[in-house]
This record gives sequence, structure tokens and C-alpha cells, in this order.
Amino acid sequence: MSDSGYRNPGSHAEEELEGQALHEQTAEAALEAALAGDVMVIEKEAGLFSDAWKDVRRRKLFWLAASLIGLFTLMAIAPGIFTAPSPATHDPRVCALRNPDTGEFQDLLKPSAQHWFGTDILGCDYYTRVIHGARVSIIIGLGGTILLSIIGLTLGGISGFYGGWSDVLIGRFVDILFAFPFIIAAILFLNAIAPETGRTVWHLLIVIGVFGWPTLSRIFRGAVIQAREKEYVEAARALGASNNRILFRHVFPNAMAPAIVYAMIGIGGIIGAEAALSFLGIGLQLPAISWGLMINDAQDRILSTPHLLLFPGVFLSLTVLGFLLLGDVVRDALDPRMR
Amino acid sequence: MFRYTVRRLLLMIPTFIGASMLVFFAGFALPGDPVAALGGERQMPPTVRATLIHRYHLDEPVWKQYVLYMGDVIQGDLGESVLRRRQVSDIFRETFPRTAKLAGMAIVIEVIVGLGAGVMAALKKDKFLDQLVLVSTTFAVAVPVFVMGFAAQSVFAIKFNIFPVGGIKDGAISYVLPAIVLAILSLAYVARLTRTTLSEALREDYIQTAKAKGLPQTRVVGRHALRNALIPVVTFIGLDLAGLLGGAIITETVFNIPGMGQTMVRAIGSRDHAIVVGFSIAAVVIYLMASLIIDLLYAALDPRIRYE
Repeated sequence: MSDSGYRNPGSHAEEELEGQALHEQTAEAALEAALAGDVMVIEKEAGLFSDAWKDVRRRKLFWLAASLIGLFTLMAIAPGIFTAPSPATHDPRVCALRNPDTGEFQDLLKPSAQHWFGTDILGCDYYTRVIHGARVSIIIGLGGTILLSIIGLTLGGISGFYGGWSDVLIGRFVDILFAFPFIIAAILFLNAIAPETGRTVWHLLIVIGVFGWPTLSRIFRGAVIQAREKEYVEAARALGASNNRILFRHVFPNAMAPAIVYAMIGIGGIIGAEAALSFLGIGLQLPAISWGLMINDAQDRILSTPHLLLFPGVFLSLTVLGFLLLGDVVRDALDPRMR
Repeated sequence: MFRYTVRRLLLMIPTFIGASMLVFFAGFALPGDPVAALGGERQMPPTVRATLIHRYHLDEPVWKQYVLYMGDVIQGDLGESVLRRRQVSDIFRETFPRTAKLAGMAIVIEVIVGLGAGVMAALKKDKFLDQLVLVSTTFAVAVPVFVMGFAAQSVFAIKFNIFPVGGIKDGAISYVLPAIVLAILSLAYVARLTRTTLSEALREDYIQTAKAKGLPQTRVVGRHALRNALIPVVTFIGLDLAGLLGGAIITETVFNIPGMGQTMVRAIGSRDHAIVVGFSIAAVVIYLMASLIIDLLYAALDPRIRYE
């Protein structure tokens, strides 16, 4: 009955012991309210995440962020959709230094009807290349965040819930990684684990995962320690719940919010970091297609062909902006203190 | 306070050992043969090669090499750059002041503009000014530093010719534009952090009391609210400075400033391992020292935090 429309599915409050009674009450209330034609009452009883979703849906910024992310994700999955209307080649690796019809050189062209974003030094159609550049950014942003979240949540969770030696050990490790500025760590380890010519997205993902987790782990550890002391955990323990059940049904779901906020805001930063590393010549290498590499290539001709720097720069900034805005909106929704 | 300082210092030792080990072993895995590099273009006779390997202790087990190297590092000897034929510590002494100048300027801008914007936003919460600060800081964070660097370069240096394009030939003025670019990102964070902590502090009971006593607004905000709100901001700025002193790698590369960061990126390109490892260890030490000072300041500023 309570799942038939008025209540948002996925509500976590229902899981709680005390929540059980509340749930039944509200189900009855819901029925009454629905009969009375007033559904608003129950909406307030939903869990943290469904409340947050309701809050988020109402904000214009969320829709701006979602459309930016949707646009660039679609670009990453199916670049063909975006290159289809362009009159130039749709393959970013097919480049012709001379125009096959007229025989004229066509490198470093300004934007035109034929080449919407102009051409680069090898005569490649720049629009097609910029569109195809989205894939690396999205893969690294999402993949890197997933990887560092898995490591950070596991170690932070162990550290916070079990405490003792595991906490001390993980804490020391976090300290060591904190002492490394990320970019120095990336420079050192990317060069150590991967040859200059064979560096792939995987190597970048590994470095981001291995060096990116400490902050998330600290945040989650703190949240777990707070949740662990709550009365409902004591109640569950008194009822004979196992450690695992307490951990996964009571402690973790309630400690997730700050970790989710941090991870979401971090996606934009990771995308920027990949571009910066590739720009410095220590991330991806040609012939990979990455906005950072394009900017690196364009920097020497900033006077004559500024558009070669502008287009990947704007695409990169908008992608990062999308994820930052989403993170901001989610933070406001999950952390009412900030409002 | 004394016991806390000692404890904090002792805790730094395992962190430093762990971090320096990571740097050292990563340095070993870097591509290239350092002994062959000593010979330059010419093929090296096997006997010379064996002698060199023995002289640089490359025939010892790795852990022993680490101990020997750290023994030198503690005495201020970071090894020798084979390619440049100079002591790494000399190169450090030459490049560090440039990085420090850049970082120092950036921090000053960050504090003045960031704090100012944050305080204004918190006082006019949800008004136009607040929204302006929120929107502009989001954009400032979204544009990656090197994109912003090139944009600033082409507009302010090339088009309007206000600042030099790059390099450090023109003295202090050459640091201004890179420092502004470097400051913008952190400035946005400082503004947002100040806005949050100050608007939280303004809701506290002691602010109501101060207002009720009839104190003027400037005193309530400056003396009562800001003092408490600033503690996390000070921490952020301190750690930011520590990170920047380890090398503002991207900004130095874009604006061609021969500081620690640019030197390190070039050393990676030319496989100058001694510089890469030495500078990484220097960056770690700078960071650890700075975070120690911040923690001590923190404990001094806020009597609630004394860690036992």
C-alpha cells in the first residue's frame, strides 16, 4: 500500500527499528490522507535521500548541471551523434594535410562552414577531435571517482568501525599520502609504472585511485565513528544483530552522505587533473585524444590560432562546471547546515 | 602545549620515512640508466662501468642505498644532477626563492580578495552580492589553471601588453600575472569557506549577546564572529601555501618561471632522476613542516583543541 505512489521508493528511514512503527503509522495516515485528497503530509516522512531528491529537483541549478553532464556523457558514449551534421570527416584520426579535391594545404585553418572549429597543424578537423575528446575526460572522472571511493570507503569504514590497530595503521598511511602533493605523486609514479609511449587511461586511473582516496577515507571514518555511537546501533546490538548487519544496514547508510558529497564534488577536479597531466606531457600521450593534449599542442601558436586553445578549453571547463554544480546542489540537499 | 608539540614532532618521523621511501623506490623504477648517462654519448668500458657502479653504491641492496641516501639528505646533500653537473641542493637554492616569491604573492591576493568576498557574502546572505560570490567562485574553480593561465596571458600580456608574457627577466612585475592566476582557484575556496563558517558563527548565541549589549556591527563581526570563523580558513590557507611551495607546477610551466615546479617537469623529460627524487623529498619536507606549524597555531588559537 505504502509503495503505491505517494511514497518515494528507496526511502532509507524504513530500515530503522523505530522507523518500523513510524512507517505503519504513516501508511495509515497516507491512506487517510489520500482518501481525504491530501498527499502532502507524508512527503515529509521520507528518508534522507528521497528528501534530498525532492529538494534537488526543484532547483534550476540542478537541471543546468544535469544537462551539462548529460550532454558531455552522451558525447563520450556516442560522439557520432554530434559529428553527424558536420560536413567534414567524422573520424578524428583521418587527417589530410592537403584538401583531396583542390590540393590546397588545409592545416591551421580558421573556423569555417566546412571545418566548424577549424583544423589543427596536421589538417585534422578540430570539431571532430574536440567532440571525441569528451570520452577520456568522462571515463577518467567517473572511473577515477569510483576507484578512489572503493578504496576510501573500505579503508575509512574499517578504520572508523573497528578502530584500534587498523585505525592507527590506516591513519599513518593516510598521513604519508597527504604529505605528497597529488601532482608530484602523479609525475613520479606515472613515470615509474608506465613507459612514456605506452601510457593509457588505465595507468592514469590507477594513480588517481591510489593517491586520491585519503581525504574521502578521513571523511567517511569520521562519519562512521559518529554513526557508530547512535542509539539505534545500540538497539540493534541489544537485539542480537551481527556485526555485519549493524555495519551494512545501520552504520554505513547513515554515514554515506558526507562521503557522497565529497566524491561528487571531486569528479570535476579529477577531470581537470587528467587534462593538466596530459597538458604537462606526463599524462596521456599522442595519439590519444584528450583536451589536455590538444591544449598542449595549441599553446605554441596562441597568437596565430587562439581558437585551437579556446575550444578544448571551453569544453573542458564546461564539463568540470557541470560536475561541480551537481556536487554543490547535492551538498546543499544532504547537508542542511549549509543552506 | 609542550607535550603536544613533542608528540606531534615524533609522529612526523614515521610519516617522513614512509613518504621518502615511496619517493626513493619510485625513483628507482623511473626509466633510463643513470650510469650510462654519466658516459654521455660514448660507450663506457666495462671496467669503468663497474667502478662507477661500486662508487655510487649501486651494487648494494636497495634498502642500504636508501639508508645511505637518507644519511646524506639529513645533512642537506640531495645528490648530484648528472646532466647539469651540479649539486641538486644548489639547484634547489636557486629555484626555491622564485617559487616562494610566486606562492607568497598568490597567498597575499588570496587572503585579501578571498576573505573580503567571503565576509561580504556571509553578511549579505542570500542577497545579490552573496549570489554573485557563489556563482563567480564556482566558475573560478571550474576553469582549469592552465586554461585560465593561457586566457590571462593572451588577454593581459599579448593583447593589452600590461604584463610580461612569461619568464622572470622583468623582476617582480613578471610574477604578478602568474600569481593572480594561481590565486584565483584558492581564492574561490577561501571565499566559500569564510562564507560558510562566518554565517554559521553569526547564528551562535554569543553573537546575540554581543548584539544585545549594543556593540557596533563592526565589533560584533570582527571581534566575536570572525575570530571563531577564521580557524578553518587559516588552516586551509596554510596547507595551500605548503602545497604551492612544493612547486606551482602548472602555473610555472605556462608562464615559463624557472621555479621548483618547472625544473621538476623538465627533469622528468630529461630523465634527471636526482632532481626528481631530491625535489620530491624537499616538497614532502616543506609540506610536513608547514602542517606542523599550522597544527601548533591551531592549538594556540583554539583552546578547545589541545589534543589531550
